[in-house]
Amino acid sequence: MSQQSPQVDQFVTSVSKRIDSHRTRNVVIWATLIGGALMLLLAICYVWPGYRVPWVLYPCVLFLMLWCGWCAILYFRSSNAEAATFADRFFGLKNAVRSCLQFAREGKQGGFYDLQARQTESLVDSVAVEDIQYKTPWRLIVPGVLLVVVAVSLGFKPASPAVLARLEQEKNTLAMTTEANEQLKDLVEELEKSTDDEDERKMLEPDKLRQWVDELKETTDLREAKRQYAKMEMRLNRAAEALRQRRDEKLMDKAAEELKKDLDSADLAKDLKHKKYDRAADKLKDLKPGDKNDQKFKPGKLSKSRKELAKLKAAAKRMAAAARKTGGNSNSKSKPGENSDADPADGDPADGAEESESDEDGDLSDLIEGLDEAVEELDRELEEIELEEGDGDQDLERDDRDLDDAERAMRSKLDELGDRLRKMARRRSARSKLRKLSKKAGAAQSGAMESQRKGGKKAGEGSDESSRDQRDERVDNGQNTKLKGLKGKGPSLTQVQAADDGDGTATRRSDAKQRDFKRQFESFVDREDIPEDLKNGVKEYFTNIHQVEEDKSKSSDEDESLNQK
Amino acid sequence: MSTATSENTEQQASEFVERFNLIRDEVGKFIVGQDQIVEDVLIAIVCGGHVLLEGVPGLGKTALVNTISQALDLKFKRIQFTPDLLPADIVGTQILIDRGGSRQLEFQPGPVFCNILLADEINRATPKTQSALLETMQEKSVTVAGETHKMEMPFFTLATQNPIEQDGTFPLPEAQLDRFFFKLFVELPSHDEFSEILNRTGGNAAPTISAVATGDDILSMGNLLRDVPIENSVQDHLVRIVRATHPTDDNAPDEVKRFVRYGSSPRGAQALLAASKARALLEGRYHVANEDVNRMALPALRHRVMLSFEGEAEGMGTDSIVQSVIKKYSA
Repeated sequence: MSQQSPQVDQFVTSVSKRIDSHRTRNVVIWATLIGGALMLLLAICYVWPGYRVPWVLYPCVLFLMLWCGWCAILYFRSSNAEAATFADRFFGLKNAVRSCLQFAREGKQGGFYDLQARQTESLVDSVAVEDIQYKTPWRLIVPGVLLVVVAVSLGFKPASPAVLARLEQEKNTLAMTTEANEQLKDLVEELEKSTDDEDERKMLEPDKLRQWVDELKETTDLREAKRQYAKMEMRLNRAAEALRQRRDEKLMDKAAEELKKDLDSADLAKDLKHKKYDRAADKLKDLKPGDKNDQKFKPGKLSKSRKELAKLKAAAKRMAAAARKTGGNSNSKSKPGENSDADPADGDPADGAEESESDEDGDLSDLIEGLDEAVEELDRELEEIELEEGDGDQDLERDDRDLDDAERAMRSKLDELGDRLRKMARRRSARSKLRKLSKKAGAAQSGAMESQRKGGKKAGEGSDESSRDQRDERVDNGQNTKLKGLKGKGPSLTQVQAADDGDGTATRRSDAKQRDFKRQFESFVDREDIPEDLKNGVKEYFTNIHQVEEDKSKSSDEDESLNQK
Repeated sequence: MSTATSENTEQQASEFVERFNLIRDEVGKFIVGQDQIVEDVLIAIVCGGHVLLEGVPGLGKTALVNTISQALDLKFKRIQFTPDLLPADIVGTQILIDRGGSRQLEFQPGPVFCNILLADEINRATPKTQSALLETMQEKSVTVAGETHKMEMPFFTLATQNPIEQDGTFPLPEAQLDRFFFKLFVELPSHDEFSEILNRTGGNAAPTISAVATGDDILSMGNLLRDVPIENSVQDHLVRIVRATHPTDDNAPDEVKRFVRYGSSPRGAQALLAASKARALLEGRYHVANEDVNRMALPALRHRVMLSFEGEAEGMGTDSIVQSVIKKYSA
């Protein structure tokens, strides 16, 4: 600062302080206005969707405004030159103060400089810094205070019931997913511990199961939770299916070993051993007693029929023995009807997986044992009829009915086993084809990549020179095809299975399957963002179908009542 | 020492103001009104600059210059510019003189060899003759036949011209215009001033003008002006104004960008600075203020701004251009 004009320096310092004071007030007012607007904006962001404004928001905005205000005060702090310019303009000093400061700073003395300094001192003495009055900007203060008041008052507004419910649901979902994940982890551990058989443990692949469970995340989003559990369920179903196939094959291996001991069923054993299940199914059908046209047993030919049935009986016995042996080793096998009370719609993915494993086609060992029992029953019926024929005491009508029932039961079991064997054959064949396809696809992919790297010309258009002077333009050789597809446009994964011939009533298995489908579909509808209109359309469609079915059943009931009359 | 110097300067400054006011009062004895014009002409004279006075005939331009020349104890000459005037008629020429039987060429000085030159109706001469004044005004010398003749100091050219729309006029070239310190427009007197003019000139007794300052006084006044300090921000303000008269300047107002072909030269900035210093002293200040720059910008820059074709077509005046620049930087 200038030493030759302390009065001017003091004047400038006073003006600078006054300017800073005014600016500080302005910063506070602007901070109030901006902070109020910010608070209101954030409060509206919470209140609009129905949430309650968190109280921590207000101190945060206040702190932010204080910090910004402090920065602004520091940034806008006036310098001496600025204060001098302001004083010159405010008091009409015509650049006197500013000139005086600069001349003093540059150390210029004598002549006009001294005169100028003296003149400035006298000018400064003639004015009062107090004349620089602060003009209160009420136009800013009033809206600023109003904004703050409105924003704070919004903080007292409670959250809407819908939001509270949503928050509660999110909390519950988080708790549910956490608990479910823990349970799944425990189940995997228990499953691994409870599986003694080394082969079965290998088939179960507990490390893979553990990895799948680890991939599950705790989430507050119900849809996401359902999505990930559905994915988990799908994976488990696939694993269970593979496990089941392998277990059935193992059972068939055992059965083949047993059947091999009997010469009559050696061919069947051979087919089973070589996993030619469709041929085995045909041979099993050939073992069926009676003529080939599926005619009923004739009273006069019962002894012949019993002889024919003996072959089937022996084969069934041997297969049942093998099933019992295999079943005795398996701890995780479930008996039919064990889970009949369990509701698959409970949403427990582990239960669903287990159910789908046991309910899909029934256990093969049970099927074999059922066949054995049916053949035994038929044989018993034939024996009784034969004895009654010998005694001449016979109730033909009752005997025919019993024989028919036993025969139907046997045929049903035999057909069921045949179907099961054919299905195994198809699965095996499909798996083999898929493996081949996969290999082929891998080879094709690597071949495509290789060919893409090489480039080259089309067939017959190659260069006849060993070297090229310049690079040929890359020609499309037809190997640049990319696989393209549209979501939802692929082949349908649904398949229609024909029901068995003959009359029948709904079984527990079909009910369980229906419940399973229902649960899966409901889960899908819940977790996917399907438009409400579409949902309503589908719902309406199914409602109409049910109405039609109800009408049909009503009409059939009426027909029956008319017939009875 | 410092105190003695400042007291001396203070005395010189007060003498400057007194002398200036004395001349102005003396001129005011004959010239009625036109205070601004008189002050500006005197400022240009103390700054060592030339003045171009423009106005329709009969407004007292020539009378003003005559009066100033009488108020100053300086050699005064007048040239009436006509279309047939030749450069040699102004600067002088070599003539053959017979001296005792031997003839020799001798330089015969023209009317420019004086202290105050009144170039009356300068734009009635051809550009060739107008250009004869170029060296005289800038270098204060005359070169004839390869020989340079220095002129006596101080030397001022006070030129008058009729508006260029008048018949028989030749517009001054840009180079010639740039050499004028100020260009002043002489306006029609007010009603009261008209009456006063009639009162003063209607009788037999004409006011007597006496010389109140010498050439040395004028030179010393000019030297004193050079010491008047200017603060950096004020000088920046001056430079910004001068630069803003150029259409190529980023900060030039829209009027300049649209209507101006060329802006002021650095010589214009020098003239503005000198005039601002003179005005500061006359205002009783020992430093130049923005206000001084703004006040002197118009007479110092108006003839240095060349309008573009569009500006001419729109009928723009350079005064409005310069005022828009001042307005922009005074806000």
